[in-house]
Amino acid sequence: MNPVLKKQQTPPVVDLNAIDNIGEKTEGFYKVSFDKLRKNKLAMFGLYVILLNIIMAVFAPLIAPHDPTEMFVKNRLEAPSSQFFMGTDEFGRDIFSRIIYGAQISLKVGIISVGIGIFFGVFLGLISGYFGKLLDNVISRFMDVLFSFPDILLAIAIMAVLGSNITNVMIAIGIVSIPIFARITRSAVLSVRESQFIEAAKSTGVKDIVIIFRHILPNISAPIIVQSTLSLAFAIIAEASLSFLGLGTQPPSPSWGLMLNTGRGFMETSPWVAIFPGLAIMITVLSFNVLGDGLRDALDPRLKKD
Amino acid sequence: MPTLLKVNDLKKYFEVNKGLFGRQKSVVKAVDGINLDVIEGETIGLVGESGCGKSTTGRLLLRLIEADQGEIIYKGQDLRKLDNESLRKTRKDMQMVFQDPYGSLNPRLSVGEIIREPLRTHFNMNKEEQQKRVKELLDVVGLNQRYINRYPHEFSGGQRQRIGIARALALNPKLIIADEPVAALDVSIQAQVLNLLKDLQKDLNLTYIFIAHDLSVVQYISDRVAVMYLGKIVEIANSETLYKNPQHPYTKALLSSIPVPDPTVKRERILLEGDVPSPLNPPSGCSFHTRCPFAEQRCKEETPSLLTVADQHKVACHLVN
Repeated sequence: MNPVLKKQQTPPVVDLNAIDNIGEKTEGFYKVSFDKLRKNKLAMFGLYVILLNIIMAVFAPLIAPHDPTEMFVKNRLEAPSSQFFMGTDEFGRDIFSRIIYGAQISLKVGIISVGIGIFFGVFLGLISGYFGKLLDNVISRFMDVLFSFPDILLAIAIMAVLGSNITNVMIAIGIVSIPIFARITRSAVLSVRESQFIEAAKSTGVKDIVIIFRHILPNISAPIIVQSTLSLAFAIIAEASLSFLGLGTQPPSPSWGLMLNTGRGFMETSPWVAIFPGLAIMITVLSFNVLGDGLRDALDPRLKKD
Repeated sequence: MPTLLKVNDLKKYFEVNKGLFGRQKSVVKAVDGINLDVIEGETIGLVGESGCGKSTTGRLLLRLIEADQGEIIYKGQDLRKLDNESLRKTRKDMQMVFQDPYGSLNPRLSVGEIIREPLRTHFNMNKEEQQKRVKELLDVVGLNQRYINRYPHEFSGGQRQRIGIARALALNPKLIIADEPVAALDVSIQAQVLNLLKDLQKDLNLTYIFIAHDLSVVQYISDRVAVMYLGKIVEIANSETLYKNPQHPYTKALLSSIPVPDPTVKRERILLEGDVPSPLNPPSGCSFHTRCPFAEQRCKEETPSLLTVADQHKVACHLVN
C-alpha cells in the first residue's frame, strides 16, 4: 500500500482551541501596513536616516564636538580633519557641529509647518468634501487661488509681510502646505462619503461630526500620512531656500540653507563649506521622499495580501 | 392590525444634466407616486427589475434621500416634515439592513464598535451595559461573542450580514427596511440569513420592508408583495394570491421567469421583448405598454391607476380593471 495514501486517510488533528483563539487577537490596519513597509528596503533606509536625524537633533549637545557658534579664529576655512570632521567655515566654526544643530531647525520647521498644514488643510478638506455644495465651492476656490502661486513665491510673499524670523518661516511654509492637504483630504472624503457604511451610520442617526471624525477620517488616513512625509521634505527645502535667500533663519543660527548660502562664496577655495550642508539637505529630503513612496505602497489597500 | 407606516404619493425625481455645460436638463422619475400601507408585524416585499426604484423607495422612507413630494406618515406624523433632531430620534424606530455586506461595515471599526455605535448615539448607557448589550445582540444573530474585537475583513459575507443585522437590531426598531439583504450571498447562506430574519420577526415583533429582485426569496419571506415597474407599483397583493393568481401582465411575465427545478414540468413562459424603457423618457400612458403583449390603444394614452380587484389585491392595468 502506498504510504502517502495511508497518511492522507488519517484525519488531521485540529486543535479547536487554537482555531477559536484566532478571534482574540487581530492585526490592525497599521500593523499590517508596517509589516509591508518593512519589506521595502529603500523606505526603511529612509526611515532609519530620519530616525538618525531625530536622534541628532534631540541629542545635539551630546553629539556635537563643538559649540555651533564657537569661532576658532585661527582655523578659518580649514579643510576636514580629525578635529573638524567637515572642516570649518569663514568664521572658523565647526561645520559638523553646525550641521548637527541644524537638524534641530530643519526638523522643527518641518514638523510644525506640516502640522499647521495638516491641521487646517485636513479640516477644510473634511468639511468641504462632506458637506459639499456652497461651502465646498468657497473652500475649493480659495484653495485654487493659493495653489495658483508657486509655492516658494507664496512663502516669500508671506515672509515679506510677516518679517523674517524662524516662527514666521514656519507659519509661511504651513500656509503654503494647507491647499495640498485640503485637496487630498477632500478627494478622499468624496470617495468614502458614498460608502454604505456612511449611509448606515446616517440611518442609525449618528451625528455628522461623529461620522466625519469616526467613520471618514480613519478611512482616509493613508493619503494624508503619505502626503505629510512628502510635505516634510518640501518644508525642509523651503526653509533652506528661504534662509538661503536671507528671508528665513537669521545668522548665526546654524540653518542648513543659510550655511549653503554663505558657503556659496567659497565654492572654489573651500568647497566643504557648501557641500556638507547641501548633502545634509539632500539626504534628509531624499529620505522623506523614499519613505513617503514606501508608505504609499504599504498603505494602499489594493495591494493588500488578504 | 394597525398600520405602522403610511406612504402617500411619494415621488423622487433626479435631475440629470445633459449636453454641453449641462444646459439641457432632464428628469429621471426614479419613484413616481407610490402609495403603500405597511401593517405592523408583516413583511412586505418590494420586487422589480434593476432601476425600477425599489432601493430608492427604501432610502426615501428613511429620508436618507429627500423625497420631492408625498407623505411618509409614522405614528401620526409626517417624517418629511421633521427637523433634523426629531428625525434623528425617530430613526431609532426604523433601521436598515444593507445589500453589500462588504461595504456596509466600516473596515476600521471592530465588530463590537460597529454594533455599539447606535447604542452610543441614542441611549445613555455606560460601557459595561453597552458591552453586555452588544454580546446579547451577537448571540441573537448567531455569532460567537468572542468575535467582538474582530474586524469586518475577518468575516465571511454571511457573517458580515449578521453583523449588519445586529447593528440594525441594537435600537429595538419596529421597522426594518432590508435592501436586498441576501442578494450578495451564496444560496446556502441566503437561506440561513432569511431564516434568521424570520425568527427575529417572530421574537421581536418586527415589521419588514423587504426589497429584492429574487422572486423566490420574496415569496419565502413576504406576507404581501408589491411589484414595481419604472417607479410605480403595478400590482400589490398577498404573497399567496400574487404568486398563484397574478393579474398584471408584467407580474405574469416576472413570475414565469422563475426557474423551476424540475425539467419535466412544462411551463408557458411569457418572454418580454426589449429592455426597460429609460426612466429619462418614460412611455406615455401605462409605462409598461411598450413591452406588454396585450397592449391596446388605450394603454398608450391613459395612465392606469392602482385599483382594487379583489380583497387586498390591487392592480394598475386597464385590461384587468
